[in-house]
Amino acid sequence: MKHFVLFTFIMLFASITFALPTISDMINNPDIYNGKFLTVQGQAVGSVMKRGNYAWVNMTDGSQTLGFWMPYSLAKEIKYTASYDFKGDLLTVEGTFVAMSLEHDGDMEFDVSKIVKIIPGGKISHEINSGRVIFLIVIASLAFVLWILKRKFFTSKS
Amino acid sequence: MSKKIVYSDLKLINYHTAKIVETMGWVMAIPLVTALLFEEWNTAIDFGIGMAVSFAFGFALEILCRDHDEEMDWLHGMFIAAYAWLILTVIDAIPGYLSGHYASFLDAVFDVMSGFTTTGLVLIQRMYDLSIGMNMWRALLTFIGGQGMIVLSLSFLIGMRGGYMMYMGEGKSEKLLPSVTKTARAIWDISMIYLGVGTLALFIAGLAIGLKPVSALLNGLWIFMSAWSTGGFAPHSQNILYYHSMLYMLITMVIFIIGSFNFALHYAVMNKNRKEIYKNIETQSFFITVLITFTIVAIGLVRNNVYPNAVILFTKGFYQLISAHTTTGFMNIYPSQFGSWGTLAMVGITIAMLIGGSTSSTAGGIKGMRIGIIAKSFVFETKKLFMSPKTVKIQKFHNQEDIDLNNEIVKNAMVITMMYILSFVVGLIITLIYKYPIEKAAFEVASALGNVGLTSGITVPSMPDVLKVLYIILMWVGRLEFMAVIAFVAYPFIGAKRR
Repeated sequence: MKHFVLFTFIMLFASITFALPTISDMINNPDIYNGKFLTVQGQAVGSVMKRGNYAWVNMTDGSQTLGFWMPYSLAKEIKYTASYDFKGDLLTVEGTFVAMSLEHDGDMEFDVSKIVKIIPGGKISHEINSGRVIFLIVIASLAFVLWILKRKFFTSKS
Repeated sequence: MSKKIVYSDLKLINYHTAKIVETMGWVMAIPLVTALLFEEWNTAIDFGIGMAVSFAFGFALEILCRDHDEEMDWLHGMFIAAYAWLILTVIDAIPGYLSGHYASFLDAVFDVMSGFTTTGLVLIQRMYDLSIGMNMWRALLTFIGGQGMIVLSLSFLIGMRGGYMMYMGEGKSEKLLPSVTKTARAIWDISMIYLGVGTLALFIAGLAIGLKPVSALLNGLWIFMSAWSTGGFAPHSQNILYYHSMLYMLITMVIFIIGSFNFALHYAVMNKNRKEIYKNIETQSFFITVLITFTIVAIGLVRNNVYPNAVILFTKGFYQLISAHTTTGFMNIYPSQFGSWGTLAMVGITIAMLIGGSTSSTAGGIKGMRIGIIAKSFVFETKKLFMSPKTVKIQKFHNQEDIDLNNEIVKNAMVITMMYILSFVVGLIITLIYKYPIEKAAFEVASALGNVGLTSGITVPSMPDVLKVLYIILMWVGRLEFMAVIAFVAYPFIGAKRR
């Protein structure tokens, strides 16, 4: 029992000490993370927006999304960003969390200095849902029959 | 006898509701075609199902109610407005629910009501992989909701009798032209002119901030539709923060300020009556209340030392204030950041949300007209205390023309304002039962009731279902300005008695 308690304590301590903060952690606790050099993971979403020699890349942890400001030379390494058709690249980046950027009108942001790792995303194949197709045919047929009935036999007096 | 009368009334109501449901069925063709263009086959199927259900429901109701009465009175018109909005909210939630981005059908219904009422509170999840067709639909919900689904139906359907009663029931009162159908079309014409100009401006800004052309166009179109309707829906979960651009933010601010003005004011300006801008009681009221509420917000932010300099205070504080006052709900901060604003700034924003935009606009809230009337009446009554009893003075206000400020007008403004405050208190008490802090609860209730869409963080998919239903009702009540909803609730009791 003593060993189990010790193991649990060590694991808990390790997870608190070494776990990467999530994007939601930073957004929800800006005072704790402000100005800290961190390693963060997230999926690139939307568009890579080039601004001069830099670029904005919005990244999500699945719950919340934050803007990552990085040199365009780093942003060019991103091949896929998440959309309906694509799974975005999963990036591990190093840099500084800024709770209120004076450079960017007070926005909360993460200034990236290095991309540590990229797990590439890719095309998502959306299989057509045959059950829904059948339901569509049935309900569309019903609507069509009702339309014919309405036109032929039950035209309103107005 | 009375039962027969009620039955025939129901036929009349359902017949017109059927027409409105069918109109919105046709609107679903737009996201369907968009989905086909971008090869989003499952999304196209979802909208196909939504269209088919709309038509099947509409045609079935039309057949059942084909021998309806021709005569429509005010109660019918008001009832139809409230009833049709509820039916549409449920049917039009089908494509969203099928998309798999909602935890429940109730969440999908919540977002549709939020879109129709141009509120902007959302329960949608994983917006980053939402299809283009679905984004188009969300923008259309808010754009059409802003002008009104009945306005849309009146514009395109021939043979909808009693249009003016339904039009009034939808929270609009201005008659720009002698016929209500022409007025409805004029509202659409005004919106379409701004749609072209606004989308172009946002498209160019989108290119300048690094969006690719197709993305810049789609984002520009969707953000315009949302801003003009004072809706607050955005195609990204970060809302306006996604764009990281002051230019984009400023353009949206111009659009939603213009969108919050009365359609009659737009019509007057387009007909070269530019003096109306500064003579109109609503624009005067808007600028005064913006000044007062921003002063409150600014003092609150300075006292709490929230922002390091005046530029950032203005960028964040003023944008959020105007977004709240026009009942738009665009956000350039994260909801959790409201936590650092302090009570005074939150009170300032909450007051702005309750005041809202102009009557007969896409905005919600108590409305500038009523605030202006009550303020003028208060000043006038105070002045009268110091006048000789023999003095006869008539107070006037300007809205397209000079109007005598009589007791009837003041009473109507007071009644609606009291109903807003009463609904706000009821909503606040119910929200507080779930143990939310009072400033957050007041903020969220004002946001739902005023059709604003800013959130203090209460509106999330995991919130209690009771609050989801409560906010759906508040959004609906706030958008239709009570009368239609009162008619809807009271109809079973007074419907038969009135004859």
